[in-house]
Amino acid sequence: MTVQVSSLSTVDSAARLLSSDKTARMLGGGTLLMQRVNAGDPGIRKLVRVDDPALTDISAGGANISIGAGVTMSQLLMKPELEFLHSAARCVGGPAIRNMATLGGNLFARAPYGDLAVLLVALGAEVSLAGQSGSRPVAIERLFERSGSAPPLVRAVNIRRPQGQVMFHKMSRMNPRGPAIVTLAIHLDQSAGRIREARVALGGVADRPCLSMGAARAMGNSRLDDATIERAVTDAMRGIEPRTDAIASGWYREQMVQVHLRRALTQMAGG
Amino acid sequence: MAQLPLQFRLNGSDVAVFADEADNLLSVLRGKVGDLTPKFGCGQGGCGACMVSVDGKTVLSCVTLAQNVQGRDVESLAGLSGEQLDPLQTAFMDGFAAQCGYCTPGMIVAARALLRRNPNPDRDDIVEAISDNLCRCTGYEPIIDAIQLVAAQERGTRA
Repeated sequence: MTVQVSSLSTVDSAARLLSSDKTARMLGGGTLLMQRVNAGDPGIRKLVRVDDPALTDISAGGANISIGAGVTMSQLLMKPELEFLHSAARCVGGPAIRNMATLGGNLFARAPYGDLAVLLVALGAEVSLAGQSGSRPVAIERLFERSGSAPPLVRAVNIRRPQGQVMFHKMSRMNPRGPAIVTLAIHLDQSAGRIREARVALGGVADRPCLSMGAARAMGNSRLDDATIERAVTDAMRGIEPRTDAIASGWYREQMVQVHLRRALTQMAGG
Repeated sequence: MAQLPLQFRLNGSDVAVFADEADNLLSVLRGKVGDLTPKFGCGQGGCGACMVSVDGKTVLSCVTLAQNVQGRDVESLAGLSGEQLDPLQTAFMDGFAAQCGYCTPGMIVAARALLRRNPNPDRDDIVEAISDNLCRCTGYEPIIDAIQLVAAQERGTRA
């Protein structure tokens, strides 16, 4: 089956095309999509390439950071002002994959991939969508709630420079770049010894990155002490059904979330 | 379906071919241009046998849309050696770093990219640099040793 390629100059025109043709797919770095093209996936009849400089813009000088969806992992790693993203970006493949893989592609990579997206969820990032000029950016986790509908085209990811502690940890059978058993990202904003906001994001356990609402509730307005950590660990998987695949069983993933969350929070508490 | 005219530089020479719109770079290099040094391994970007450089950056050609190299500089293993073998090729032979040899083109492209950006790599740098590349014969140790040897030789040459 022949696959067509449309080369467009603006991300908005690409968004229009993608919304009108359900067999069209946006091509980022190609590391995931070209696998499907090579395999003759009948669901893909058209690839959309976009040569829009907006997709590769990085604005990282101040407190409000904007990163174009076409920025590669290698480009992120060359920006010292984005150091808080480096541990996650470095988990994505080896050097050649990182030269190709884009931020936008990582958002739509299904488990056990998409490690950077897990950290972005923990940081409370928002995404600007193409073809919706004037609309407000949407919380990144909203992207992952859309099942069945065509994925929107992301123009850029917006992040507030994190205040407080950030922790990213990936557990894989082939560290650090193998498929994730569990990916864990934590952002703790503390004031006067109490946690003002806790965001704990999990990757690998569900098809898409998700927030652990149980862990966040358990830590809210508390001191980060042993009792709080135990409550967070106990509640971390509440409402989340861990997935089983060839890499790990759901039971094992749940155990690993608890083990690594306890270790991470203990380390963040200075223990 | 009409084919797409595609022009780029391969190993310093201009190349012009016709390709299907969604052809990947590996199929163009092997099938249309006749450069057989990049290998077809997995077709999924998972093994590194197809690795080449585009504008100086390593990519996996099996998952690179061929159109994306229009007007750009592509370098494969064939571009690393001229009248003489690249020192990495010699070191791979001398150090038994190739057994079946299928991964070797990708390994050497990755290693040369490393030595260009970091002439003084430590062992961890080398392991990281070839982490896109799978070898099912050697257990990697002779490959790492060969790259370390060439790095040392080339530092000596430059000194």
